[in-house]
Amino acid sequence: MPQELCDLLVGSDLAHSAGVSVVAEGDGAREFREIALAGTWRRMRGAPSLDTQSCDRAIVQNRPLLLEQPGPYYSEGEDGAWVHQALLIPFHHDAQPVGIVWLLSHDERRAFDNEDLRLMGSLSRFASAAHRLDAISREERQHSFAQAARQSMERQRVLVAELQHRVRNMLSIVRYVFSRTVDTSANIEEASMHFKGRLDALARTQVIVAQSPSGLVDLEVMIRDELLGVGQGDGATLIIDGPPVQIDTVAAENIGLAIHELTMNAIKFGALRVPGATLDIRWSVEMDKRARPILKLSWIETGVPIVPVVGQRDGFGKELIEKALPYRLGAETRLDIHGGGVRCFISTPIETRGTAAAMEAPDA
Amino acid sequence: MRNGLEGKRILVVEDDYFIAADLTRALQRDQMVVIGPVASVAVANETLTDQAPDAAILDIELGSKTSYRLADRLLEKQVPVLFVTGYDGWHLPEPYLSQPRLTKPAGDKELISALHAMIRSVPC
Repeated sequence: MPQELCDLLVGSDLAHSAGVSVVAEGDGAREFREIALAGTWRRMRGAPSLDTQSCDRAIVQNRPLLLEQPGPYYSEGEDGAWVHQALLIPFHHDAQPVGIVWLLSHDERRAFDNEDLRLMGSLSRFASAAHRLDAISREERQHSFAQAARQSMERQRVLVAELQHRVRNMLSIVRYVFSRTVDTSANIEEASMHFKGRLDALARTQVIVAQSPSGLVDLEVMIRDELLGVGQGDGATLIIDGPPVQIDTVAAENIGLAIHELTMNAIKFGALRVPGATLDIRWSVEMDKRARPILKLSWIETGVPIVPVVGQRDGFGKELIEKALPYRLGAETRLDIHGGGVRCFISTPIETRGTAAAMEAPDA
Repeated sequence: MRNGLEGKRILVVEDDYFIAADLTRALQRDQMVVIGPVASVAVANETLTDQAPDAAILDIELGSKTSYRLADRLLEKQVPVLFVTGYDGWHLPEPYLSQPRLTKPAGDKELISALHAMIRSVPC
């Protein structure tokens, strides 16, 4: 806006040159910084700065000053624009003079009078307003920048804490899975194989979670990942079918492990080993009495002549399905091992934990 | 090895099955009696109506809730409380900063010695 003011002053023939300089407090002496310039001085290469002493006087006296032939001075033959008259009008911010609007005439044809002084008085109020707006927006910019930086740091802090929390929980889970696997395996080779399989299943879930911006996991992707991990894809004997369902990380970790245990069992003893046997994995979402979505997942093997023994491998799969899922997810589960193959039914609420908790009564 | 904790009744409140199972295993191995484990404050409160634990192990974050009010209730009844958390100390509100605390994953030895210090320090 200072530039528009200068252009206006020159454009309406009020002055040959016009400019706005603001006070920049230097070491000891007051300095001026030119922020706008128009007219003759603008067209000159290397135009001189306005005489600082005169500007200083206008600021100190805090009133318009009309100066006859002030500096800068040019000796004869020097390429410059001699100043015939200078009119300096201080403008204010918060009652403090913060800068000067200045008008120059470079020859006798333009002489400043009282009318110019009066006019410039009102223009300097315009300059004050422009300066104030500028200061406010600068402050706002700084403020919003600082606020954004603070928010970003806070977000980062929360994320780091969350990550730390998740990592520690995961380590605790791994710790239990490890000791449980070692306790129940016949030998070190078996323990090692089972443990690696379980660790990989947990890792696959983490990869899916990390790739999902919402932190939710697509059930079908998770199931297919697990089966593809052991070289099993859709076919005449394997059906994977259900509507798109997103589950949260905790549900994904637990259901993912259960799918892993069922898969490993099917490979060793069940439908994924016996030729002609089929595995049918299906799910749907139904609403319960309180209109909460319930995921109903079924794993049904058929055509397996010899009764497989899910989890009887070492009991971990059975414990996981019959105890861990009900405990952690509030799921209802059933694991049937009978002629024809394994049947497993998992029925679990799938509202994200936050929402589910918000609907509960506050604790007493 | 006897450590004076045999037969002590320990309430375990932890929403992760695996961690709860791991705690239970460690406590039972040292002949303590586990009350629970339970996964929520609501179930813990129910349990407390007819069970009187000698000490309690509380996970701080239970889903989207915290176990602070449960801790208050236990401390009022002179039941010492051991917090187990995946968060660092700064996460703990001021009144609980002096409570014994274990960071996950907690080793069995740390767990037992923390319980030992708590239970011994309770006046008979």
